[in-house]
Amino acid sequence: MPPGSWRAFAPARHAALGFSEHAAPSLVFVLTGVVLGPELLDVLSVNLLAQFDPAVSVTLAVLGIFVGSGLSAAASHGRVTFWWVTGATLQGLITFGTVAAAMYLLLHQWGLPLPVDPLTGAAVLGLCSTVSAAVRETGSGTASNAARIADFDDLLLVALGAFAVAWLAGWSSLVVVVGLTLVAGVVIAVAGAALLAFSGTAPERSVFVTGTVFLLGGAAAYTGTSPLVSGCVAGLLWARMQRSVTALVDSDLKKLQHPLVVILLIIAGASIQFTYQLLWLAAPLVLFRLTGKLIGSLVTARLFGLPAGLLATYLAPPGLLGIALALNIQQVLSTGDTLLVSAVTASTVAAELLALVLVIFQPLALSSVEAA
Amino acid sequence: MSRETRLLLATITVSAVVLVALSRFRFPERPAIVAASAPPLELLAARATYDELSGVVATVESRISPSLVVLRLAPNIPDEPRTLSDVLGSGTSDAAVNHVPGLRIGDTTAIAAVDGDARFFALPGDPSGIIPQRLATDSVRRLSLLHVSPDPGSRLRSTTLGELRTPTYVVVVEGTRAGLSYRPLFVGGGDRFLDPRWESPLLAVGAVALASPGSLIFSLEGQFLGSVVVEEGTLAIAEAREVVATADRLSALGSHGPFDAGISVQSLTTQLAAALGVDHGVLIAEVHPAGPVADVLQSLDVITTLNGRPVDSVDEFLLRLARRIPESDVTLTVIRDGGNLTLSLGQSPDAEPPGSVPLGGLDVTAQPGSGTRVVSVASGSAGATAGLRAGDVIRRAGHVSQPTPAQLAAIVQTLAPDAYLALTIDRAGSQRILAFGAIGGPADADAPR
Repeated sequence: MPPGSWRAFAPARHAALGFSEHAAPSLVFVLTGVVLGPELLDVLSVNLLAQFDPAVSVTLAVLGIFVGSGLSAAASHGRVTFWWVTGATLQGLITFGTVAAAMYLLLHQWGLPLPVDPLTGAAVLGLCSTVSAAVRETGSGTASNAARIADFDDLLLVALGAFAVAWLAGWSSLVVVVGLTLVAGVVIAVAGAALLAFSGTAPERSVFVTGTVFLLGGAAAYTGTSPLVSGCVAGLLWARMQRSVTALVDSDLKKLQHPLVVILLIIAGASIQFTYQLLWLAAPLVLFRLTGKLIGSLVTARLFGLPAGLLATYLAPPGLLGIALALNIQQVLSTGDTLLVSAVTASTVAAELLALVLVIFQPLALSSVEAA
Repeated sequence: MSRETRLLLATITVSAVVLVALSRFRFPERPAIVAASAPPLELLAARATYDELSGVVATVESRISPSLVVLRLAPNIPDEPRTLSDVLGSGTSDAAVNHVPGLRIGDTTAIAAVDGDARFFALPGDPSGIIPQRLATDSVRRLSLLHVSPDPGSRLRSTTLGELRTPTYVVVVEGTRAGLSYRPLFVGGGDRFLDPRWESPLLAVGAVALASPGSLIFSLEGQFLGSVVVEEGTLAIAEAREVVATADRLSALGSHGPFDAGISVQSLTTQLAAALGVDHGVLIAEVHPAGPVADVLQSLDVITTLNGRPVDSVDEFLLRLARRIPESDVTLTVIRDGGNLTLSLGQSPDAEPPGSVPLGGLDVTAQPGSGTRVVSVASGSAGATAGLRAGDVIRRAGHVSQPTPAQLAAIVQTLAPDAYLALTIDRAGSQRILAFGAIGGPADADAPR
């Protein structure tokens, strides 16, 4: 390994382990959840897990806020252009199409029992596979550009996830429902900002921020819509407000983010049901997600003049939002069969490990970095 | 083509091959795997669960026990007066004695799964010594409204009705010689089935799960959920609201036997269906000219629905018709001469058995030189409650010796609602005295002590 190449891949390696700035060490906490969950120690029993539903909604709202504020901040600094978002969306769509098509073919042929029909199941699995781990890469080199493409594939998941959640929640007019979700996000965000503007002390401000986030998550959970979208809208709005307000919200939200993400991962781990269906579903999901990301890397890299191998190392590590969306969908399905969450969580863990191997032993990537 | 492109294409090719290979499989139908032994932590958790369940049952017991009463009855014990040989005979064997829980409906009334002419006895050790009396009986559902000892502490009306949602744990209450027995019972997601005796579907339960028909079922919150019945050999739970509705109906109407429409019905065979041009229903074979529906139905009518529900078998039709209460209407969809008719049976003119109104359900005839002979006794009637049987000869009614049927009717009609008439009867050469109460159900609630 040439000197300096390890350092060049440090962000991608961190993402693979889940130790990025926006992501908790997912592998550790998911495994903790598995150990504490009903399948092993049963400390987190099924009944107890059901009590954590509000925490999932609130976490989704917080993650949505960070997606929105990140998008807004990047745009305001001129580092995000239409083309980077386009690239991220393109590779996300390729991954989505690859995984969904392959899984639909398999589910249709297998006759594997699912809590939803095979087409919906394949679409959900494809959607949860699109997201890559967020990596904070400063600078303007090739690696930085690849990292931005990996960062902005969250938007596709947030957008399509809103429709998926509304569809599975039983809403008939999806466009109207998603529109209402956006309006709800705006109203709650404006109300929260107005409260923050009049808050005098730090504890007072923290209460307002926490209350607003709980309201975002709770309203979405009550109406059967996506808290990610509400949060994303609120994040965009707050980021566009006065810098003082944005900074205050960011500092308070970061205090909330890590505990909530930890809870989310532990819940996801505890929700895993070790069944034959899981084995059948998770193994091909890992393979076809990787295939989709590699195809997406190849196509996107050609369009944007990036080394495909380098881009693949950034896109391969899966992100937490896939698990978050799977939990959100599990909530609206209201079924005891957690096969979809189990498959997404297990495949995320497996894909993290696979991505780590890819980062360490990917000779193409190393040569690409050297060339860059 | 660059090296990385070749590698990516190779990955895609491998994925496609794997996809094709995997798609050739079918997911196997695997039987549920039952663990040979539970892990220690699971056993500890189970122990805690059982302890918790015991505590819940104890709480429910204290809550619902004022609403319950245990009844001791025996269908085979010979009438009093009895001798030692009667007591030591087979008629008093333990198997002949039955204990049934009753659900208090009012201060002195209870509903219980008691059928036929079973005789009640005071509970051993019961300081009140009050013998329950049958006030009215629904012979279709085999439920009786009973007069029981008053309990100032009873608060049955405060017992709320619940709906049985499975799978769940319930508290089953059974009658024993020592009183009432409470125990938890798991009711799985058993199938529900329709029985013509009941309006709502019954929940089938395993035969091993429940000890005896007539047991009462309560939720872990103390709500009354239903009563255990046996229909066509299947143990099932009848819904609470139907049991209570039956009790209310018996309170309001008194005894009423099954409605006999005076018709003969037969199944619709394939040949008959083809001949009549119908595809389902039951066929009216004969209508008794003096029957209550003689002016409504006629032979060769095919009944397809009863009160909106399809009719599929003869037994079901007759039972559903028999369940009809006196003041209710019955709507039938009838196919007659190829056309559809909707007919209403209206109120039955002979809902009460003949002769039962003036003489408490007795059909009597004069027996010159002796008095009045009982020809038949309607089940659940005042005469049956008093212990009269067909063949009994009433030799004295109050102070009137050798009463004629007309004298007897006059005496009974002047009897006050809470009064009793001493009847001296001759049964198979043995003379005994019975207390004959006023006619009707709720009015004669106070039994002689």
